[in-house]
Amino acid sequence: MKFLYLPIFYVISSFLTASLIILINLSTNLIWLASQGFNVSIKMFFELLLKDISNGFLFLVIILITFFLAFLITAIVRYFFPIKRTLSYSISGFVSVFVMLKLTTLVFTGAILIAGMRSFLGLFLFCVSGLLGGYLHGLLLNKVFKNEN
Amino acid sequence: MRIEHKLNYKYRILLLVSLIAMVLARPLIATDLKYNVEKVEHNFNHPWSSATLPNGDILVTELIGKIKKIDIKTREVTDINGIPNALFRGQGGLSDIILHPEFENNNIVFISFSYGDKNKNTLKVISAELIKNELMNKKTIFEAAPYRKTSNHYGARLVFLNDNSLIITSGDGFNYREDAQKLDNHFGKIIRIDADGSIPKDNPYIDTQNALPEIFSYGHRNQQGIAYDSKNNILYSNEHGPRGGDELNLITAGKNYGWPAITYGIDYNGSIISPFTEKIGMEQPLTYWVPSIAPSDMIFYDGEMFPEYNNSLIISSLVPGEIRRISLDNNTLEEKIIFDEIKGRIRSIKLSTNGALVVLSDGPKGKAYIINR
Repeated sequence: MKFLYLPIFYVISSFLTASLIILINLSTNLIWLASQGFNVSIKMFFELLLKDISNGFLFLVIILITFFLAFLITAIVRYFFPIKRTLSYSISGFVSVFVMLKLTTLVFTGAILIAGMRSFLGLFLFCVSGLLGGYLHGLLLNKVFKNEN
Repeated sequence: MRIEHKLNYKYRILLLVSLIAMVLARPLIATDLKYNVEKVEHNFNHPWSSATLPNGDILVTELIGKIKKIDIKTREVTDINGIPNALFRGQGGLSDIILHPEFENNNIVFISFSYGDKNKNTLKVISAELIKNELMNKKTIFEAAPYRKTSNHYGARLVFLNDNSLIITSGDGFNYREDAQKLDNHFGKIIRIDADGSIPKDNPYIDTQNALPEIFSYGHRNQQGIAYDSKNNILYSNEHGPRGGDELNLITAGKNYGWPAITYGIDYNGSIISPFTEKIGMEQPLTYWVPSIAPSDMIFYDGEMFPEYNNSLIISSLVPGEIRRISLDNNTLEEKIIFDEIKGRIRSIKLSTNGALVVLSDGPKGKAYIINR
């Protein structure tokens, strides 16, 4: 029965990562607009964030696919090497988001479809979002499977 | 009551006469609208643009790096030799071709293409003499700066103004959209140079410090249609928006068209690029399309073959694949789909010397259509 928690944790961690990516992406857009003399208010920021998250189905699907593969590989690796859950899934989240972002850029002949990752800092923060999603997944698994690998 | 009855009869007779007149006039109206759409039986590999030579033959560029010539009498298709090496990748490749306004005297053509490799490339425009199916004396007259790492959003359309200066559309390179708001680069700009590559003295930013003197207007995304009303000296441009927000703009020297600070579109991934659609100092489009139609080319019709289309912009679009006429009469824009028998993504529409239209469909087996009467 405990295994029923797995897909729930997987969706929650994917949602966290997708939301963080949306947040970073929106922030980079609004910071640039503010630098161009536009009046960007806190209220506007939160309104747009909600809008972007509600329109962020594509992000969620991409992260779900990315994490499905990443967490599957991590589970297999952990079967042979007993690495701490939080550590292994954090690394897995970080690396998988990085690979996914780089692959989409390759597929679209250099075009970066998520504008926020055009800078090194943006790319790094996106990967950190993957890391946090992975960490949360590991943490939730620890709660349910305390003494099991 | 009696009088009313008589009046009714008068009206009935008037109605009958009107109906007869309409029925009689219908064939005449229908004749006016008749046209022929002829498909040239040849597969063009990603055709992108065309230019009609004074003798009626049609040059067709293929994005893969070739130029073909359609013999207007025999419809035979032959290769043009001496083509510059174009980077065929993503949206890049051999793009536009136009004739010098004095082509009959000098045989000069102008060609735009993406140049370089996948990690470092740019938009380039050359002039060359077309002599017996061969391009000779090639000379680079424009190279967009800086180079880019992407193979998207080159713009690459060309048109001559009345003063023989050449207008070049230069796209934002996709990853460099914010640079469209800066004047120190060619991303997201409309460029104006002379036919020999020199810079016209009356360009808007010629005396502005840290601004590139070739820039004519800025704040554009990926302008794949540029059309000129030579009689009234009005320049129009259309550009691909992101998801929604394709625009038709009236281009004025020195103006800022707003991308990406103001836009009617959203990003491909569904997120907001900018919540703003207007700002003082930034131009509004004449019209915009949400959802996108992906405008691919545009002409201002002033030919003789279709007088009913005079003073209209005719736009080709990739999504869903249509030709649209935008009538500019009486300061109102009226939009209509025309020539709807041509199906599929439409890459280009050009006006030939006799007023006929040359339409190219997109893809590895693209077709050329000649619409005439």
